[in-house]
Amino acid sequence: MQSFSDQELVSGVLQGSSTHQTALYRQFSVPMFRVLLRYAKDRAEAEDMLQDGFVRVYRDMGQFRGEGALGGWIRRIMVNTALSHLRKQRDFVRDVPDFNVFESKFHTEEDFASNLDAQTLMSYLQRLPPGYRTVFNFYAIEGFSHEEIAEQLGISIGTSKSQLFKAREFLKKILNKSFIS
Amino acid sequence: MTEQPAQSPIDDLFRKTLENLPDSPAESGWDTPSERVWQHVQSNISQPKKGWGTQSLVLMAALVVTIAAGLYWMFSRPTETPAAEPVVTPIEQPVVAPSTSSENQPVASPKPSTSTGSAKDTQSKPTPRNSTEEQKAKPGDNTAQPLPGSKSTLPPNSTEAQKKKGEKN
Repeated sequence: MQSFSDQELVSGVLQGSSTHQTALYRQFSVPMFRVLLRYAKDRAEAEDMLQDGFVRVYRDMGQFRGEGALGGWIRRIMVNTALSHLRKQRDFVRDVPDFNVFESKFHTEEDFASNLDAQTLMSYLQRLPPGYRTVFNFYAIEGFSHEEIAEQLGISIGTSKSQLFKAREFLKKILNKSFIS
Repeated sequence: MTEQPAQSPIDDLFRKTLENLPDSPAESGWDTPSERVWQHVQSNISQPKKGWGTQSLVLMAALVVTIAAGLYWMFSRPTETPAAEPVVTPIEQPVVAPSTSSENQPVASPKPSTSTGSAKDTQSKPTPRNSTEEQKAKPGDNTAQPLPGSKSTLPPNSTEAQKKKGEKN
C-alpha cells in the first residue's frame, strides 16, 4: 500500500482522488476501529460507527486545518460519532442494579481463564451497560474529567461519578473471577 | 481537561492494554473491520453532487415540451361557434287609424298566411312559430291583440267601451 503524508492525504481527498481516499481508510481504519470497539456493545455496532465516522471524515475534510495530527482529528470525529450513536439509545446512562443478569452473559470457564490480552479486556468492556462503558472510556482511557463527561453526555457530575464507580466495581468482579480461575 | 482524573489500578490496566496496541492488526482479525464497511463508505462518498444532473435536466426538458404542446393544442383548436339563432323579422303592425265611424267595426286583421302561399314567399319571410301574426290569423279570433307599447284598443262590446260611447254622446 502506498503511504502518504497527512498533508498529501488531505489534499488528495479534497481533490476527490480515489487513491487517496482508499489510502486514508487503509491507514486509519484499524486504529479507529479499536477505539470504537470500546464504545460499542459489539463488533456490528462498532462497524456502523466506523462507517458513519469515515463518511463524516471525508465530508468535513475541508475543515482540517493541519494544526495537529490527522489521526487525532479523525479520532475526535470517531468518538463524537460513537456518542451520537449512543445518545440515540433511550436512557443509555442508567443504573443496572442486578449484577447477576450481567454476570450471566459470561461463559465463566472460557472467559476468565484467558490471559487478559487486549481482546479479552475489550470483551469485558463491551459487556458493561452502555452508560458505564461510556463513562469509563471517557474517564479511564480518554482522560476526561467528570465535568467534561457531564457536559458531553448531558448528565450531572454526580451521575458521571456514580457510573464510573459502578463500572469499576463490575470490572473488578470480573477480573477477580478471572484471576481466581 | 480541567483536572487530572484520579486513576485506579483498573483504569491503568485498561488504558495501557488498549492504548498500546501494535500498529499492525491482530492475526485473529478481531480489530479489523469487515470489507463491507469500506464498500458502504465508498458508496456514500461517491454519490453524485446535488444539483442539476443530466437526468434532471432531461426530465425538465421533457416537462417543458409537454406543457408547450398542451398549450398549443388548447389554443389552436377551432373555437365552437354558437348555434345560429333564427332571425326574427320585425312584424309590421297594422296602424289603426282612430276614426269614430269605424269604432264599432272590428279591427281589420291582416290576411292570415295560408299554406297555399308560394314557397318563395314563405322563404323570403320566415315566420317563427307562435309569432304574433300567427296568433292573429287564428280563425274566429277577429280581434286585434294590443301589442306592447301600442295604444290599447278596447273591445267593442266591453263595458268600458260602452261607457266611453255614452260619455261621447
